[in-house]
Amino acid sequence: MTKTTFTVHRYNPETDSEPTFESYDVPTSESTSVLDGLFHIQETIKENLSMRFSCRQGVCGSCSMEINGQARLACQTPVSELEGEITVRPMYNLPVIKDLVVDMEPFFDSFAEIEPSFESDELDEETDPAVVKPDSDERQVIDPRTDCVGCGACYSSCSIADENYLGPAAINKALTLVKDSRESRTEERLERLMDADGVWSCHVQGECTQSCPKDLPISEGIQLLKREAVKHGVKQRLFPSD
Amino acid sequence: MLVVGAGGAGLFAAMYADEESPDDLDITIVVKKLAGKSGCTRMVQGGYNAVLHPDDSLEAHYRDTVEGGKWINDQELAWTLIENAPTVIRKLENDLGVFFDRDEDGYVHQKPFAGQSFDRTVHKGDLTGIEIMTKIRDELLTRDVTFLEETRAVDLLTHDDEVVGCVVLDMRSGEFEVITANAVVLATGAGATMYRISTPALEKSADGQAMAFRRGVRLQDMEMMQFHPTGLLAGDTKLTGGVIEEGIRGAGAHLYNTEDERFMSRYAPEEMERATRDIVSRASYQEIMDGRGTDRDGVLLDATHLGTDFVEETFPGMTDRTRNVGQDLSEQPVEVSPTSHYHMGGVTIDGNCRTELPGLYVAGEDAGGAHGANRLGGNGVVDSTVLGKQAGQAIASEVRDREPAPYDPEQVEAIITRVTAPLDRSDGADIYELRELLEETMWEHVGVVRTEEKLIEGIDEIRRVRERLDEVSVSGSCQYNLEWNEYMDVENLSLAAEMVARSALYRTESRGAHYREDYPTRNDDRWLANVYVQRAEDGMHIWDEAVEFSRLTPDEEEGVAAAPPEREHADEG
Ligand SMILES: Cc1cc2nc3c(=O)[nH]c(=O)nc-3n(C[C@H](O)[C@H](O)[C@H](O)COP(=O)(O)OP(=O)(O)OC[C@H]3O[C@@H](n4cnc5c(N)ncnc54)[C@H](O)[C@@H]3O)c2cc1C
Ligand code: SF4
Ligand code: FES
Repeated sequence: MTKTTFTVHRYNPETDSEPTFESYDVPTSESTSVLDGLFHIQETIKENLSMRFSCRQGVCGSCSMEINGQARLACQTPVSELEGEITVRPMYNLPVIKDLVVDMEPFFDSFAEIEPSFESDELDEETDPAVVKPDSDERQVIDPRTDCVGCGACYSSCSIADENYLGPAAINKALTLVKDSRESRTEERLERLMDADGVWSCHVQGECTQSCPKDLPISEGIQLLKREAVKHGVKQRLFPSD
Repeated sequence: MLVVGAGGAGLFAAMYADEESPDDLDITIVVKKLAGKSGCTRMVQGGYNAVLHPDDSLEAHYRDTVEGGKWINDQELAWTLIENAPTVIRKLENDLGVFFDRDEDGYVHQKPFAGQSFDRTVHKGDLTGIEIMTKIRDELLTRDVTFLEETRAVDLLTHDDEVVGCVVLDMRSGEFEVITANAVVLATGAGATMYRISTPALEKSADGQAMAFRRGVRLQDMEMMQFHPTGLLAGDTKLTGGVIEEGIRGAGAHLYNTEDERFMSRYAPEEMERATRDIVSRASYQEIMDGRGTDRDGVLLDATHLGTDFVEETFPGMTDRTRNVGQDLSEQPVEVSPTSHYHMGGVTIDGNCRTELPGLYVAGEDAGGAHGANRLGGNGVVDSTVLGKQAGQAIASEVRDREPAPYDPEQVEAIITRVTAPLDRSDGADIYELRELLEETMWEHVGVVRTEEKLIEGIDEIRRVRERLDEVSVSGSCQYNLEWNEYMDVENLSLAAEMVARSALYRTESRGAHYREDYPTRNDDRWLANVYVQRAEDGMHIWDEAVEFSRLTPDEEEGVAAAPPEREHADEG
């Protein structure tokens, strides 16, 4: 066991006018994750720290925070991978509720905005699932993008993200629906994505892709959608009655 | 209608209720964490059992389930699951847009799981749960359903033996609220986390089972707790207990004790490491308890002879997981232990998820009966989604016009006083120590292998934990206070733990997940029965009732051959 210093963002809106950073010595080994370190502060040092977690194995996407300046999942970040002291603070671009907990509402609101629910004209509970080849173009595009755990790391690292821009994760979700041949609302969705705060807000800085713990090709996905949107725009101009 | 919990069961209940009754039913979901981003349905890796192929049949799936459950399943409930599973799969794909994996010809791929007579497990890679939960969450985002996130249900409100609502706590603000409802669905996912080593999401703490018990509702087969044989041991990291999937043993990995012995040769000389979950779990547990375990109380899972490249390519997720904690499955043996995984026991319900208490419905892992003494891999998510559907549909048609009676403010007061008590104390017992004591007690005394003596000691110890809860003090304010939440968790967990221990003491035989060293055989003459537990004046009343064989009867031959044929493939879930 070695000791690692964790410097943690503390903020209690009831009592603090400003956030502070407090440091704690945490015993760590090769298997300690940043989340474990925070649990140590909570359970052993008894700091009554607020943080969010659920699955502790990279599935729920609840424990995202800024770790040494980068948005990551705390449960999937081994302390041994980081050098020296560790600084943790809540994600950027989202309002802080307390300590390390942010309000994810603005992030999830953008999902609601792209109308994420699936609709098919042909399929329903009575029909057999569609035949879709695993090597088809749609599956190739959709598959890697469905592993999104909704952690918001991409949103935290995006310099444009605000309540107007749809944001990287929601746009990628839209792409999975646009590419889905079973889905019936492609045109409608593309309309929405062409708005000023849709795909065109993205300046292709690529921070989102870098921070995604699930290695989703996010930036590339946004570019793909821009292309779809252009095609859609041209089509609209040529065939306005469609 | 109030739904408590937003895993598979809770969200399906909300969706189906909304579909049946779109205009005149207000649906509110309270969830302790984030909606669709918490609980175990999200964590499902392996997949979903459903009859889709023309060569398969509902009867075959049913028989597998009842034989797997060692004949104490509620046969009607089990049939409800099997009959509805294909409908729910079509719903997931065709209405929600879930993309399950495909065969080369483009049809939905179905893979083999242990205990199945046909390859019927539908999946999306090994992240099936994320796909299902994300899509249903997306769907509900566009419907008229109210989500109250980070809001925990504290206790049910009753009037004249009917449920009229629930006291909930907004964890962010620390404020209590009363939600009155025509019907309440409990879908909190039980509490396999009561053991030192366990697989589920951390917030699950038998809240639903404890709430039901406190209102006098009966629960059944609480002794039936399923252990998965290979939970990763990684020291004091919270990852400990996470599953190393069984496919790796199917692929030929070996288990060793610290004396370098492939100990399965003593317990299952023919099947060795490919024996069923309960047998391998028991063998490892015995080795550990007999002192042939590692320093961290584990055994060694060795896949190195299969070749580094093979392991890395075939089990990338698992290899990564071990690397994350400084071990490397592809290059060295890793430490594993049985890990508490799934609770077959729970609240007694009928096929529409109704309980004895009007207005109260229970769905998913909080409910008991469908799986008997042992759940097959792939039947858990069937349980949560199908029962969610049943509850939602039933509520929409049954309680639409029911006017809940007024709630009793004194009952509300009593609940709030009880759970806020530790905030008013200082210098009391430490809740994290009590939690640890409870988990240790369950592991040592009510674990994979049980005896009368150990169970009696265990019950005493659990009682002591429960008494000491009255001394706990919690620091800080009510807002987003994790320590205070831990207190409420341990209160419920310890209550459910006592039900598990007492039911285990009561069942004097071995069956499925329940193994008594002092009664090592299955006794069909006496115990083709369900064990019930209910609140009584002086504590817990326990009794049993014979199983009703409404569809299939265990003739003698089947009884003996009840263990499903061993297969050589993944047995995840
Ligand atoms: C690692 C793992 C892998 C698995 N793999 C498989 C598999 O491959 N196939 C399979 O069939 N099954 C599998 N299972 C089992 C399966 O996950 C469960 O059977 C099923 O998901 C339980 O669903 P549920 O809806 O009852 O509970 P959950 O999905 O666990 O949801 C419980 C919900 O209740 C909330 N909650 C808890 N307490 C409260 C409260 N007091 N107030 C408000 N909300 C509350 C939680 O936050 C959560 O949202 C697996 C389980 C685990 C742990
Ligand atoms: S795209 Fe990646 S970073 Fe963004 S929410 Fe999804 S998993 Fe997280
Ligand atoms: S706790 Fe679920 S991703 Fe970290």
